[in-house]
Formats: sequence, structure tokens, C-alpha cells
Amino acid sequence: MSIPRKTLSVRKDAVAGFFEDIPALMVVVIGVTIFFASMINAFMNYSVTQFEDDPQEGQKLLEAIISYSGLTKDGYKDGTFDRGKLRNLTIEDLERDIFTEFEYEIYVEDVSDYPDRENYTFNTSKVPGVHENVEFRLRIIYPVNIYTSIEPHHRQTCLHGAFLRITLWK
Amino acid sequence: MTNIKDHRGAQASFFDALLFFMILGIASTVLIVAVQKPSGMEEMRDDEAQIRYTEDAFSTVVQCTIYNVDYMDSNSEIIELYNRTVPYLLLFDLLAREMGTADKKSLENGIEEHVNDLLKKTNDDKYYYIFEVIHNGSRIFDLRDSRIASTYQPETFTAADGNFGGFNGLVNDATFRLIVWRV
Repeated sequence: MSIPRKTLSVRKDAVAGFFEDIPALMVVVIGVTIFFASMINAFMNYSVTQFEDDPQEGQKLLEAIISYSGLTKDGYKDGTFDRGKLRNLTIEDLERDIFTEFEYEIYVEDVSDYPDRENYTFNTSKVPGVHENVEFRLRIIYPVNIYTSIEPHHRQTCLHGAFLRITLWK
Repeated sequence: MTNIKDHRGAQASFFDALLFFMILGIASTVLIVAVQKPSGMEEMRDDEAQIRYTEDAFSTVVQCTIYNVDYMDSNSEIIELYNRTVPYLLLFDLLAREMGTADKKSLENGIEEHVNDLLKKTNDDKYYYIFEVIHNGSRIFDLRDSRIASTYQPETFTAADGNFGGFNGLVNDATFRLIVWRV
């Protein structure tokens, strides 16, 4: 006994049977697509919100360092470091006076042509290599001066050109 | 004539779909509104950081002293200058040009190149820079990032400037300006 086929011609409950559900299906598909698109968009925006504070943390640390009284020369603008203070500063001083939840390295390079130029490094731990997997990494370069001394022969102030490099990671 | 309105089953499924669509639409709108992208705030922070950078880079350069520069004067003698600030050196350069006491090329190599070298070494690579000196309405010096063309002028930038004069009035105030823009 053969099973009777339901064809368009024998359907009595609709004009076009299955095809009548196509508009409904299209509405559902469009609705679901819009919903998923908004979910993806929301997730991406949420990710940006999560990480936006990290560059801010870098900027905060930079501002704290260039205005840190344990480094700056009295009577000069922020970012003018005193060489005497640079020589005596320790990472313990920095950790005590400047708070951040990140690991960091501070590097000051004297780029002047003075023969007595010196570079300085302070770090909370060794900077992870580029291939090491870290949650977050940021590097900031900033122009600074290093006040060295009164130049003995001409009695003039020496302000060496230098840059400050902060590497921040978590 | 057969009309779709006569078929209740089809009508109901379509309206069910519309109802479903409306619910999803409301949910999507709520998601979009609830998790807005903070792009405007981020750009503002970048702009603020760039303004701060420009001001600090400018004041660093103008208070910086250079250990030793030298150039050849018109009598083929080597003139050495020790421990002078950047504005002093550029105004000295300007004076020597105006008085014709030195070869222009020698001044370019001896003084201006030292200043540009300092700018280059202290600059953060994420920014381009032009350091210019304007005197009596003319641009006398144009020290620029080696990555940009010699005639290029950016459309949007941040700038910091200051006026310096010297040599007991021999040189009127000149405007020193640092222009910075993002790579």
C-alpha cells in the first residue's frame, strides 16, 4: 500500500503549503541575524572597555614618574631629572612612593654628546621577551632632561637631552 | 478566489514570527545601548596625551644644552661652542647667517644637525615632528623628522611654541615651534 503524497494540489489548509511559511522563516532569520550581530558588537565593545584602562595606567605611571620629587630637580619643570637623585634611586623607593598593580621597567637614556653621560634602569622584575605570553604589555617613550651639574669651566648649567622609556606589563 | 486571510494557520505562524522578531529587536537594542563603545573617550585621552607630549617635548628641547658644536667661519677658522642651549645655538646660527660670518652649509652640518639629532633621539616613534624657527615672518629653520618629505605639512597636529631673542638685541625675538602629529 502506498503512502499518499501530500502535494500542493491536495493541501486544503493553505494556499501554498510549506511555501506559505517562507515569509515567517525570513522574518525569524532576519531577527536572529540582527540579534547575533548585536551580541558580537556588544562583546567587542566590552573587550575594548576591559583594556582601555591599561593605557591609562601607563599614562598615570608616566605622569607620576616625571613629577616624582625623588627624581626631579628642584626649581625645574616636570621631566627634569637630577643626576644625583638618579644615581641614588632604588626600585624599593619607587615601589614605596609610586603605586601600580603592573610590573614595570624604567629606563633613562642620556642621548647627549656629553662625555660623562650615563644610563639608568629600574625594574620590578626582568622585562618579558617579545615571545613570552603576557596579559598586557605597553611601552612609552618620553623626552626628558638630566640636570648634571654646573659645568666647572664656564659655570653654566648642563641639561642633557635624554629619553625616558617605561615598559609596563602584567 | 483563494485568499490568504482565509487560512488561519499560515496567518498565525507569520504573526508568531513577527512577535519573535519584535522580541529579538528589543533585546538587540538593549544590548547595543547597554554596551556602548567608549571610542569618543579614548580619542579624547589620546588627544590629551599628545598635547601633553608636545608641550613637554618642546620644553625639553629648548632647555637642553648641547655639549659641543663647531662650524667654520668665513676666515676658515673652526669655531667651537660648548654647553649652549638649543635656542642660543639656533639664534647664533641665525646671526651668523645674517652677518655672513659663516658658511651656510657649515652651520647646517655643525649646529642644525646636532639639534635635529637631539630631536630625533628623544622623539617617540609614534609621532612625527617638525621643529621650526620663524623670524621676521620668515621660516628660518625647518628641522624635521627624517621619515617625512621636506615639503610636507600636516593638516592636523598639535603645536607648542615660545619666543626667544638674544645677543643684546642683535637678534629680535624669534618664534620656536614644535609641531607633532600621530603616525
